[in-house]
Amino acid sequence: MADDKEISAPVVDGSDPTGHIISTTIGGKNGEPKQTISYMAERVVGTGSFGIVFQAKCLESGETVAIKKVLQDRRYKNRELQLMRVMDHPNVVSLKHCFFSTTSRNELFLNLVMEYVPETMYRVLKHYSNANQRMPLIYVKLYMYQIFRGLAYIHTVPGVCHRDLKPQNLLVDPLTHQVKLCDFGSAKVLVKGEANISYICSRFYRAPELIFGATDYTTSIDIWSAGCVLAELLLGQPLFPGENAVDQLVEIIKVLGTPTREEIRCMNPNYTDFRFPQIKAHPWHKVFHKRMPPEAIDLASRLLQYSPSLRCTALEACAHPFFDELREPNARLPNGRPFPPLFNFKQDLSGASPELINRLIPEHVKRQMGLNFLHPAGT
Amino acid sequence: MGCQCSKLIPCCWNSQFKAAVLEAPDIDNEEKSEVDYLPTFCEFTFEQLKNATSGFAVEYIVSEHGEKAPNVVYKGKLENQRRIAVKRFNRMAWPDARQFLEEARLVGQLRNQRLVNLLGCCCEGDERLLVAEYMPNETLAKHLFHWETQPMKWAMRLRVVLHLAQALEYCTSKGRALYHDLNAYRILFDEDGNPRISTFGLMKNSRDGKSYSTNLAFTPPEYLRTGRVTPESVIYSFGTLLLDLLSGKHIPPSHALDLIRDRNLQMLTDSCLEGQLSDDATELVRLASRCLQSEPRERPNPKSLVASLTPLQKETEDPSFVLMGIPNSTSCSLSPLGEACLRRDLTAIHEVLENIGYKDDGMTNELSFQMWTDQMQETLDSKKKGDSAFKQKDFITTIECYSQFIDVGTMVSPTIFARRGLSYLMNDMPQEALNDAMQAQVISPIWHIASYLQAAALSALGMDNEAQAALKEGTMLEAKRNAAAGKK
Repeated sequence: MADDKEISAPVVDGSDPTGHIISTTIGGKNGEPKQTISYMAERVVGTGSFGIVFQAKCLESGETVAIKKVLQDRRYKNRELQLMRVMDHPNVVSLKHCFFSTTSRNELFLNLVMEYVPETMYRVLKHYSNANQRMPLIYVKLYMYQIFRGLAYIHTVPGVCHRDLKPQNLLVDPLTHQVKLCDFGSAKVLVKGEANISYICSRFYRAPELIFGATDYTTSIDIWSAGCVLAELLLGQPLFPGENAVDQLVEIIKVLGTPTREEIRCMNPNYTDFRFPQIKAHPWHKVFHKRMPPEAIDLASRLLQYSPSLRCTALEACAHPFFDELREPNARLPNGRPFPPLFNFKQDLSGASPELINRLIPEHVKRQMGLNFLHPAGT
Repeated sequence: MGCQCSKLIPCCWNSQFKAAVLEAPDIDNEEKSEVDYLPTFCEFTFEQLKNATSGFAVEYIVSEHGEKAPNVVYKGKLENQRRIAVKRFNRMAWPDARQFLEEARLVGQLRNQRLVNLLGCCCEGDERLLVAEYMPNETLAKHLFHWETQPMKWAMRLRVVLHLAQALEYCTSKGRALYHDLNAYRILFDEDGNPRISTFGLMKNSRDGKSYSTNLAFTPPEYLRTGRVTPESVIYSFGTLLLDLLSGKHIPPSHALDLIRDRNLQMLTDSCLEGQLSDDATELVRLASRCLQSEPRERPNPKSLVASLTPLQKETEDPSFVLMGIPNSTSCSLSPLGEACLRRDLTAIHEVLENIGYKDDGMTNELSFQMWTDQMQETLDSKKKGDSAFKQKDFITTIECYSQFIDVGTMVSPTIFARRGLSYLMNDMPQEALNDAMQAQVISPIWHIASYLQAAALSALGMDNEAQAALKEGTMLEAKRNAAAGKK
């Protein structure tokens, strides 16, 4: 990541930056030479309450980047920027650089310059559903595995909860099939004992404890969202398509049944007056189409549990038998090309049990690395 | 009266049934005598079941999802006062009438105190119905997952699994090992608070006689591989029920096995059980993991389940209704009104009815302007006259006036039926009294007074057993009502 501490403040007007050239300087500290970088804004790729994201080209290097431009409150530090600065993982979008810009109305904007990935999971899903097809299982495995790797990293290393995981926030490289988590605009480091707001996360992917108004939730809300994404990749449509906040709970109940007293206590101990007709759980094997591999059903049922503490961790999910095919020695993409890197673990394994690590790294990779994770050299 | 057994039985004694008896000669005499109070399996007419359920009234539905569900279970009452549960299948469920009858007759031969015994069936035209004993105290799902007053005690949970294992052992010994969709909704509690499994779960149509669809949330692994359920699949489901009872939540069995392997029992157990568990919990966990083996042959059989669960039992002196904290007719003494009905003390009943007035009707006696017609005025006048005649114990006039009110039919009032019923009793017309008491119950199914009056009328008719049953029911209803009032 480039040194992004230097800030110049080019003046850019208007909300649509297309065609504008934005220049900024980096370096210049500690005797480094100053360097100008110019970006040509090419097209808007996303808008939201936060601001806009546009695709741009760096004129000096020719590299394509994505720039997220958000209004900056001068009183506060930008949390997204703070978090993005520490992120470093193949399955998390990386921040290249950042700078501030102002408008003639004296509004201050923060520009986050990130690597550009052409597709989102949302668009990939749409591509399949438009063609009336379902995503081939090998891609479901490949994509979900990388999502869990990304989550395992953000949950354990910087200790961040994404809080808005959904297909729109998952970037997919159509050539390498590498997946990256993006948009840390809702993300937060959750501290045990401190309350957090519960009105986060997009509706279809909201964990039930958030609907119950819990404020002491954990990173397991991301696991729920990932479970929803898994089901959506398998089904071709959202599993819990609630029309509003209350209906969202109804959609969940239709599949999981009415939460039990104990499950409600696990989600929000303050919520004891819940009254809902007793609905029996729908059979998991009937949620999906026939001939769905049992491992897929098993993984979905483990992720989508009412009790947050019962949902598996992201790293445990990576080790699930559903992903065993990816760990086969000769596993390849359908076009014969190799998979994107899947086993280059670093700090993301810290805290994992030797048994789990052993399951995560396939034999052929262990041999290649010349390492035996269970019995390090010398013992 | 009594169970009207129509064209049945001879064909029950076909070779198939004899064979089943021969294969299972070890009939437990003690157990058999315990269910002697039940009539033998019989066929009902559609008309009988329609009457028993007030024309399959929506208010009588006891299954989930109301009338929209493919198969609906109603509660009902036969003419002989026996309370029943009636399952009405959708038209597609049993296209072959002969197959249905054969299955029902075979299941109907089973008699066991751990079963909700099948009393009969009905197969007329497209209609396919089953009739079983009525269980007044809800399902295991309700007591375990959606309890209202108290969570289920550990001792009771241990009792539930033992009774369940015994039920499966009995079914297996009778050649009916294939219990379908064993889950917490299939287990019901009888009036003594004892758990029983529904015999409806022994009846399922199969096109090829081998494969059955299943609606279990967590399916046995072999079903996903082969599309077949086997007796070993039932043991797997038993394992998921053990998990339900341990955890109070819906946990995927594969996940539970991982937690058990990692000795992470804390995560698994129901927080309501804190402080109640000891080594027996470990034993139950061990049993659950054996039942949930993915290799069907490695799962225990019902006999060994019973053997493992019997020594774990606790507080065996306490009857189930005590552990469950539910009212029971033998536990609560008769209320003053129940006492009066038992003695057929009509004066005392009159006093009670006079005192409660119309407050149990749950409606106002004032009518809106739109309904205020001449006819209405007349009806209300006859009610007023009836009320004052009732008060002055002029029962002939009471009958006359209330009959005018009832015949117009614009308003229904259980109280008026009860008052006229008592007036009939006063005039030594018990059959008419019984009819009125039944009418009152049709309008207000959980009204204890309707049951009490039935008891008084039945005993006047010399039907003492039926009178006892009605009295018991009235006592139960009154106890529940008082419990509910106490909560508010």
